[in-house]
Amino acid sequence: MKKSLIMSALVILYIIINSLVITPSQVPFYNELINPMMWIGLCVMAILLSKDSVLRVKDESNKTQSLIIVMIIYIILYFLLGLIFGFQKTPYSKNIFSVITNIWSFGGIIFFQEFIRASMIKVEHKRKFNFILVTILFTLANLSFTNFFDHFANVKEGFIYTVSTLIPLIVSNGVFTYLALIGGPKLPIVYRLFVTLPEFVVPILPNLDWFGTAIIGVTLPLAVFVYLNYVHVKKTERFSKRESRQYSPAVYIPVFIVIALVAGFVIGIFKYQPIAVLSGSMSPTFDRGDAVVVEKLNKAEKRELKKGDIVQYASGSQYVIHRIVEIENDVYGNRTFITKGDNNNGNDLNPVSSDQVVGKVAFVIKYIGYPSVWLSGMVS
Amino acid sequence: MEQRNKNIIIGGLLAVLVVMAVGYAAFATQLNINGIANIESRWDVHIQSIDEGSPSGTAANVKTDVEQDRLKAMFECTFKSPGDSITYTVEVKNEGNLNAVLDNIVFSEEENPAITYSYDGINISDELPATESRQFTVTVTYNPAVTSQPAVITEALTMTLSYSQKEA
Repeated sequence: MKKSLIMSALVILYIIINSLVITPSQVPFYNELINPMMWIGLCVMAILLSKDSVLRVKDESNKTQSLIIVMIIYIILYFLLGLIFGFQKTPYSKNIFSVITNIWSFGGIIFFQEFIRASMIKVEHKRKFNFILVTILFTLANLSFTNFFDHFANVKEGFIYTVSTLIPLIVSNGVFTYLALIGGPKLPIVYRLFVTLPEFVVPILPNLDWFGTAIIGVTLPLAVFVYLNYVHVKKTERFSKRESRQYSPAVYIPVFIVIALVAGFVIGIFKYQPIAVLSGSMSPTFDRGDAVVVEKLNKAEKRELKKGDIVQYASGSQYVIHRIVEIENDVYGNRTFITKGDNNNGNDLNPVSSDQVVGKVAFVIKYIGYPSVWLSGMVS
Repeated sequence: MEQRNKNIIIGGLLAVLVVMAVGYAAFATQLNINGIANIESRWDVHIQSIDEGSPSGTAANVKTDVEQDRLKAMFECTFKSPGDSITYTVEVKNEGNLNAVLDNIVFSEEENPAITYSYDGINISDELPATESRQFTVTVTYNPAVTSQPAVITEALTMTLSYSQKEA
């Protein structure tokens, strides 16, 4: 326990230096040299302090194989998402020297960090407290404090940063600590390398928005936890078949399918997408706090639009849901729509082109949009 | 036996990855690749703000907008007389912890030869170090040489910035 406390103190010292004493981005060669050297120093201390401890665990290779299977499936599914959402180029330099430097700077420290984590988690007393402490310390150690408070400049930015970065970081580190507990440093190293290395090696990544990133950031560690927990329990506990079934990952498959379907529905990858109504311009047809389900239209379906249809259209970076009151043809014979909110006195200022139309309102769900209305109210 | 089966599964999944990589190489030109990914905590280069400068003549700003990827901006303005112009000041900021380099700046506009644009204060290959920001101007002008146009022209101009990591 004493050794674990010494290591915790050293990690806290690293966090203080990294967040309060220096500004990493202004220190020359911080990523390539300074940061790895600090972690190597901590790792040497961990080796010296845990000389008489055993870091190998039972059934390590079986758990490692199981984890590799899960991570390869994740990589396949992750990149297949690009066929739905499109791809973006990774920002990292593709120069071979830069690739090697990035892998060393951001991938190399994974080995040192996980070795330290594994040595800190192996204590006999106050295991729960130690688990939480190690998770918190490594979450803080992996947080970038560069412009940290700029992420909370307003409620919207703070919400997005918390959901897409902070929460996944906390959940991931909880799972890494668990993996270190049941499988030593190898398991979290395998996990983190699979997640980190593609950014530096592969030229493109799926074009996910913050919501998609948040869903994956939480779902992947949970899926890994569910499966590795089952593998661990199956080998180490003498459960009957019936008892071990409650740990089976098959029990959780419906949960993950529902999460994927709901996330896909909300993001809008299906034909129908829910939209929260934030204004009362279409009252009494639907009110602020209701949700409308919009059916996305292709070019042929847009030609079928008629007077009276309620459409969602893009106006700059915002979307408007109003009723078509007139249909005109421009000089090129293209249809344009004059729209109006049912509760507005006049028509919308600008005609809407077919290209601006996203879809048509299929049906209304009362009141279900209120959480979005409240959040939007806090943001504005 | 169980480990052997798992090794076979791993081999099969790796084969799927190889097929995907080959598929990418073969069909890269047909993939929908747009913009640069923002990777939280390491890479965050974005347009921080757009300020409307003083318009000349009867030019007027309608609106400016930064799209969700935060590297694409839209400027919408109206012009009444040839020679009208409006200048916007754009601030781009690097909030990641890697130095960035401007790869490209692309403007798209509706095809109206009466409207011209120019930018000043930024060049391809300009460096944007971590935590720093840069300002540059974008000027949209109603070509003074034009004689036959509608009484009022509304123009929407889109600008896309592409940054990548500075090479080691």
